[in-house]
Amino acid sequence: MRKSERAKLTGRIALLGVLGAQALALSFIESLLPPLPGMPPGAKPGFSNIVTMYTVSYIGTKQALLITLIKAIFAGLTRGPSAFMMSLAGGLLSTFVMASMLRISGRPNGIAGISVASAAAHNMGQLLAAMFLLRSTALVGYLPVLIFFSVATGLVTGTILKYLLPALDRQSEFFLLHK
Amino acid sequence: MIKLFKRADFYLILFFCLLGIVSFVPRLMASGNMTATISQRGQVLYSIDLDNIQGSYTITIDGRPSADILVKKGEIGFVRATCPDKICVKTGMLTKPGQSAACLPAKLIITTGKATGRKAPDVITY
Repeated sequence: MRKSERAKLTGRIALLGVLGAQALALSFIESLLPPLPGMPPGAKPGFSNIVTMYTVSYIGTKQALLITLIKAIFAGLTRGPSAFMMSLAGGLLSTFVMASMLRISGRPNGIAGISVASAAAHNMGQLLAAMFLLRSTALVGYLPVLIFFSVATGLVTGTILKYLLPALDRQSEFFLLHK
Repeated sequence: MIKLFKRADFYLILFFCLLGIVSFVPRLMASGNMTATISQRGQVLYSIDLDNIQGSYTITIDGRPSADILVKKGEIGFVRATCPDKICVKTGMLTKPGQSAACLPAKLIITTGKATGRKAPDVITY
């Protein structure tokens, strides 16, 4: 491998590490927020989806899946195996939805729509994982409130991503083009 | 550059809002005594008629983590759990039919519902 290629690869690995750390930091910060009134307990705005969505659209689906896995491992280490399963199920389903919507020809949806749909997918994944863990279908009762919650959080995280894009791009350039 | 909003986003959001409203409907159609079911890994441990309770009592579910469930007239909920995140306790008391509180690490779930018509037994233990 030529020296310049190796430097490029190192830059990509470092960028992925930084994005992973940013996703973890955002998950940690939102775990400090008080429970939202009227919302199912444990429901979070999903700020780390900002990082996942940036990674899917500007770096690659494989790298986004890796960040999803890192998040799940972090959840597992800090909150136990059921948290690992919940995080992984939500993360995989939402990353899958983001990647698919970005690849639809003509890309009919903007950041807001993709963000709302992926927030809904994240919640559905977690609901399915919880239903599997509990062997109970009773949790479908949370479905209506989770759907409205996804619309709200998806709009918030989508808007934040839109305004963070220039900064995230500069960050990527720093790692990918830095000599 | 990717746009924040496109026309399809409005339809998508409208669809989700309608889906949310439609999925609320079954809850409005229940009637009868308020009941509660406590299950672990899909096995029903207790089913309780919450409208026929004098005073209050606590059910302790042993295991790792263990949990205490408080039962009162018309109310049920987790009051103590030894799991790390205590999401079940933060859920608070369930006071309406169709609610649920779950402790994932203990694989426990409390659900509330409505008894159908005839008088149900006060408590059934399995």
